[in-house]
Amino acid sequence: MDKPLTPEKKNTVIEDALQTYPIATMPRDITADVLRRIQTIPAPRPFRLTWSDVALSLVISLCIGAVWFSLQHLPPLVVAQIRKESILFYQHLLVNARWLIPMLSFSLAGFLAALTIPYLRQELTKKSA
Amino acid sequence: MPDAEHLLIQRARKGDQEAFAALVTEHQRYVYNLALRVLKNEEEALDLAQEAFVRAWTALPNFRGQSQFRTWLYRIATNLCYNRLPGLRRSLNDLGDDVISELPETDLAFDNPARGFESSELRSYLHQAMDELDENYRLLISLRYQNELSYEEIAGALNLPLGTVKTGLFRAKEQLRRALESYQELSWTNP
Repeated sequence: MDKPLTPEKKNTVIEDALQTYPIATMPRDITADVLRRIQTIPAPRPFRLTWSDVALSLVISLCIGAVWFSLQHLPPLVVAQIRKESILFYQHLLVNARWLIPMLSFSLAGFLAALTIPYLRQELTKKSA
Repeated sequence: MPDAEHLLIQRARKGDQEAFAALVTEHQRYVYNLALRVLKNEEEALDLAQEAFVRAWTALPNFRGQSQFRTWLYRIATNLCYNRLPGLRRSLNDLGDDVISELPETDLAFDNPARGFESSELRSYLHQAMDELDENYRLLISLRYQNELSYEEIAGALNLPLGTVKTGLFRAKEQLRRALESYQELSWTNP
């Protein structure tokens, strides 16, 4: 290289190198390996709605509807009584059982964390294998 | 998407393993190459390519054909690269999108044999320089020049803004330009 390349020439040389960057040759064909691996994957269960699903959803929606209907049609005195009792209950909790709400929150968090243990164990086994 | 490939995808989505095998055979080289350029390890790249196809098989029912099959496949492979190189995603995001201009893409024709020799030597030197670039630049270069994706397709596959893709490629070329200048200096001091 006897003289410096112009900026345009440099661009051209770089583009040439980029376009001729060779695609690596595969050491072996992986098709058979992939097929072997996908054969061990259980086929996804097709979506199927059974009569018991329909009946269960009907019962749940009827229950929700009944609760909502009852709440809407309760006498005002009963509604006021329920509200008063619930406020008293909440205050009772705040005064006499301050530990209850944090304990419930931590228990829920602990339970959710525990749910991940089987998955983590599975991953660890996979990695060590 | 070519019709034949579209048919293969349709069959594979219905659980036809032979059709999927044909897709693997067709695309494996490019997925492997992408993994190899990023990971720089043959065994790891082979393993990643297999994993990418296994994931593609399980996710195939969700492939609706909004993007090209190969772009979708490279997205899966890139996500697997992110898992193996935790810094890769961050380094791509950190590129920003402050690109000012792009290097023009031009065709080369070395008609002079002497210059042809010089260019092949220079080419090898630059290919070596590409191998020594950071992993984020190697990924972008591989997707653009070897897997032949457009800037928009790369942005889609990597889930990055278009400007970041252009900036990344621009900076990769800047590094190659510096490598080229050091090659020139070397050739002047050792003629």
